[in-house]
Amino acid sequence: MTRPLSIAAETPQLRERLARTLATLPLSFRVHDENASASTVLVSGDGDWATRALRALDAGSRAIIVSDPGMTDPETIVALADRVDQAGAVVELAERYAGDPTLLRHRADLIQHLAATSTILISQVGGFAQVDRATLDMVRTVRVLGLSLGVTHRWQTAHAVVVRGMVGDKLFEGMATMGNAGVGQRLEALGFGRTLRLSLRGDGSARPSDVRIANAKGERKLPDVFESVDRAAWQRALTALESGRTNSAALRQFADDIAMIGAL
Amino acid sequence: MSASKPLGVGFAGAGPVTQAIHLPTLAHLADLFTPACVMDVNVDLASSVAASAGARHTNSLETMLTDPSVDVVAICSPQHFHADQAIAAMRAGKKAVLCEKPLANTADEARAIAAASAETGVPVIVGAMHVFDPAWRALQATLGDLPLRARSVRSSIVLPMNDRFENWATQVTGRPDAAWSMPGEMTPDLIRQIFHGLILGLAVHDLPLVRTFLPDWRDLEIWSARQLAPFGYLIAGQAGDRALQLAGTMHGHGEAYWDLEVVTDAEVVRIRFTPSYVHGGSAIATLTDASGALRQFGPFDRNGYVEEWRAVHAAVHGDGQAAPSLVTIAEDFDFVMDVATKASERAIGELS
Repeated sequence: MTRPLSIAAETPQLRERLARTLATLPLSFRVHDENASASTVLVSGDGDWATRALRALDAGSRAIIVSDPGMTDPETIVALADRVDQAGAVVELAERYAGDPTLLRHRADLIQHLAATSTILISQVGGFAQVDRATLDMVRTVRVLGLSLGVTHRWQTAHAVVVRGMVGDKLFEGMATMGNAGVGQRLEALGFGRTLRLSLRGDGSARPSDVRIANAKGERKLPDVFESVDRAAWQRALTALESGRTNSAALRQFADDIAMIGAL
Repeated sequence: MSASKPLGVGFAGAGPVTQAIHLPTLAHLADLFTPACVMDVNVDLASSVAASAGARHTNSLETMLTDPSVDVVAICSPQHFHADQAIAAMRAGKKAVLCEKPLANTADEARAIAAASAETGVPVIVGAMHVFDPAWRALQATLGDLPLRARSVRSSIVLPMNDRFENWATQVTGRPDAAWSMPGEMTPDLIRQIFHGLILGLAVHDLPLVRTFLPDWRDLEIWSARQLAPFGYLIAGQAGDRALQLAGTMHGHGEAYWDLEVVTDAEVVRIRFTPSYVHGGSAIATLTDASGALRQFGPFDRNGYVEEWRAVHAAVHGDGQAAPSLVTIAEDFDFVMDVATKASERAIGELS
């Protein structure tokens, strides 16, 4: 059996989160021994996370897991992607919605059905300090579904933002509202013969999201996945390291999405 | 059981709304109402529908209004007839008018109906079934100041074509041709016509509920209005400091998603309505707070159609609170027209 990877939290605030996930993967990871550099570092996705991730790689870590990555300088993310390629390292993004394990498990099925739809709507409720962050969450979910959202308009009130754009030839409109109840992201993809409905939890727990596809045969609920966003990201990091196949493409896509939002 | 004799109902219009909504609903309320007369300009249709309902038929509104067995008139005709027919029924001394939505074709017509109701004392109830839905009414009674704290309101109506549910509700006869195709060239007049049709035909069901959460509804601003293929709308805007999204479309599969969502700082309201026509019980409404605690209202075994007719019965017997007031009805209509007008103008603007 492969030796467990050591993992450390970048900040004390992340330690509780690390402990919760570590308990679910006790044979694959172990708490970092302070006498050496951790092979895996959990980095907070706040502020200049890409810079801090670069620093951790420079300090000898082989894998970085970014918790809830937010808006940051896209050029630094590209530099991080370059570093990943050079060092054969791994950076995994643990995104609250786009990293949802139920969504990822059924991604291929959803992409196939999504092709038969013409409109994508998102309704999102949660706390967000900046409208860019709320926009990013929507753009990233669409991205995971294999589509690139081009935001063309954005309007806001004191507590909500509405985003309009195109996803290829599909119409897109999303509304994010600041609120503490019913937190999550709901996506509806509408087509004449198909309706997809995703209710993503976004709370970091292992409570499964709800994913349904309706067509002429009726509505089908896709199987639940009782796994947290963090655990799924750790598993991906482990798989990438064990296979030796590092992939910076996800980071470069993230940089593209951030650049698009930054240009609004 | 009601101790009094059932009220006789006369129907102005014998189309699918009368056949698939009101006649089956009255069958649930046989102690309160009985079909008395069916009027339609297509006398064969009137005759056929009336025969199966055990009612008389005519092709003349005047004849129906002079029929003493007709106590209540249900206006189920195309909307441009609503005002004249409702006012005529009130002036003929009928006991109540149930007018299908939209109430009228213009704001002036809506005011004329309200004025005639105030003058004659005849109550007018708009057949907005979601306003009367038991789950909505139960939720509404607990809302307190929540509407004042709403931050966003979202109505999403994603439904199969009507005939699917009409055919479960009854065996429709003389169904009008509902063929629809997206026009090739969009002109401002065509866009105006399409958006008014969509808002007054589909969005209208929930706009009175939406308005509940928009205290500044008169300040409505539409940011974006787009058509959805093959038949639908996608509208975004704000009223005061509240964001608003209205989406509606029809599709070719069988699932119905008729949702209303309201978000405040500390609560989320979600309502899933049952489809039109069928007696599938009430909506299910939930109120979730920041702790995750959820209160659910419904499903009740009766729907908004049954309750709107119960409101008609109560109004006839002097209950002035049984249905929304004339002021509320007129304001609801103003809001519907405002959404339709501003959305179509925005869509026309985007065309250029």
